[in-house]
Amino acid sequence: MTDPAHYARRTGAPDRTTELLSTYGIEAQDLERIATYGKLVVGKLDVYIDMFYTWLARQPDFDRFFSDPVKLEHVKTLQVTYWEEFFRARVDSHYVEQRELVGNVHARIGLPLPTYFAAMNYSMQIFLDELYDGSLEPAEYAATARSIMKLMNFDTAVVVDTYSVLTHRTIREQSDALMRMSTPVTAIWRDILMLPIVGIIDSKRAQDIMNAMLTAIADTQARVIIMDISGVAIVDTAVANHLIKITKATKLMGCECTISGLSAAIAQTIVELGIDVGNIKTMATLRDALAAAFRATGTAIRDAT
Amino acid sequence: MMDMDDGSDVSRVTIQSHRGALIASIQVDLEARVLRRFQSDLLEQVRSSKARAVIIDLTGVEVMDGADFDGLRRTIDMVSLMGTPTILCGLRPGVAAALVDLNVATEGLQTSLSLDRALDAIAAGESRDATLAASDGSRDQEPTDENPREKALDRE
Amino acid sequence: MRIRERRLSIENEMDVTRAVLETVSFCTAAGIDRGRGQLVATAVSELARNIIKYATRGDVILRPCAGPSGNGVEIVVEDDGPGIDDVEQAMQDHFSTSGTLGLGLPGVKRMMDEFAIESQRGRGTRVTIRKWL
Repeated sequence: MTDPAHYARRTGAPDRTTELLSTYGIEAQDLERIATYGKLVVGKLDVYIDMFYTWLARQPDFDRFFSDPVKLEHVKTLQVTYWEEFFRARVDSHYVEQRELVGNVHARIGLPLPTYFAAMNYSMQIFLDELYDGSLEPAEYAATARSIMKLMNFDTAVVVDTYSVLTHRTIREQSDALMRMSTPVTAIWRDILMLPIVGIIDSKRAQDIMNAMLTAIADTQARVIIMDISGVAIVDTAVANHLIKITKATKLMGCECTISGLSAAIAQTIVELGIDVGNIKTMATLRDALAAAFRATGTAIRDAT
Repeated sequence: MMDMDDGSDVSRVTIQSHRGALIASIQVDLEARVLRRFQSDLLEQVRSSKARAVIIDLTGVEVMDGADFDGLRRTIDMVSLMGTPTILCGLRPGVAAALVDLNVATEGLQTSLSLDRALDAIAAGESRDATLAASDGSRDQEPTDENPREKALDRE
Repeated sequence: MRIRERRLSIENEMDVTRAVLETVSFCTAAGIDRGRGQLVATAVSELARNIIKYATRGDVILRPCAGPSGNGVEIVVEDDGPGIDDVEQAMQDHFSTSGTLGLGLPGVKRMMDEFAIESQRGRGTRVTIRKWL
């Protein structure tokens, strides 16, 4: 299953940059045209900044993000550098990193993407119309405009990707926080606790679960605690280690931990992965676990006659 | 701290006898010299008192590292060689959590949530052994591995 | 319904979690039943964790594939890490340089329908797995 092209890419140029250049159809010719055009406008970047910020000050979000004059000056400096790099048209992994930085900064201050798009659009207008001195042949100008648009789209793609990664991260951090708040340990019988676990068990969550369980054991003096994992998405070696650790901790406190809700799929993965659960009692259903817990605590249930 | 090898000024772990068990309450840091003193005190008492079991009470321990735990483990092994079981009781949640993070060996340890539970377990083990000895071999209850207490509580 | 290829960057534990969830939904979209989808997701979890354990970053690529007797999913997990010196040894159970259950590779192979691994010291690692409908 060897893919020689893939291997060549991995040892040669950074593949993401190459992929992006290819996706936006940017070739050496495009970069040359941009660099040539750059010579016409790079000297007028101060004019660009003036025009851009006059326009920006009229946008609804301006006060929220750019009210601090010191910050504003800093941003303007960064922007000048951004366009100098753009018109130098040397697109390598460093160039891409710089664009990612822009994305990071914008995402972190919470600048809405539509505002970012509008700003890029207006910048293009300034460079291609306002600052153009008319010195190129019409055909050459048209081709240059196309090349500039391609590279701007390239830049936008990188920035948007960074936005979305950061947004996902935030969403996940928030849902993590939510998941962590829900470790409901219940006393389902005298001396018997139960905790249903749902979703993914990562190391942070495992620690929260363990803390919640151990505190509950100390508070209620439970002898048995049942961990129901029927809602757990997957059990791999890492998750198994977390669960084993939890049972060891409860054992140290004199409380036996039983795992219930072991599905056929999870039983399969545990064996295939060679995980040794040792002496931990595991059951398919909560009902079986409860019956075992009753036996362990010396409780017998009889029907009332 | 004076550096005398007879250990006379080293903190000692108090060991009391109660209901047929030797109860050692750990209230001090188990550094090497304290541990050695504790071990010799404990083994001497195990020998002379013919106690049925040893209970090491860790309710007063707030911090314990892997080395401390190893020391305890070795003490338990020594007592076991003298034919006496040991129950660790009163381990605090934070300490239990820290110990498993340090991946300590917990196999074969007898543990109990509290001192009372430990004493009950020893008493129950006693009565079970007595029943075994006295009976003709027939029993109406299945003993469980984890909890030697046999009394069935009927509920309706 | 055509399912599109998804490429996920793996740099930390949160990315592993994301990859697992994406794999579950990908398998469901591809028509694989829940139990077998869990096997695939577990395999991805093991492989993605190897990335953050041994390399600094890598990728998980989920794509539909077609075989001689039907459709399925193909997943590539790759990194630019230090690579595996002795792949054969890694494919035997219980081998590990870090004292744990090792790379989980033999287990992953058992759980999947097809398994291929390319790795060279200093050149990174690439594992390709397939599960048929």
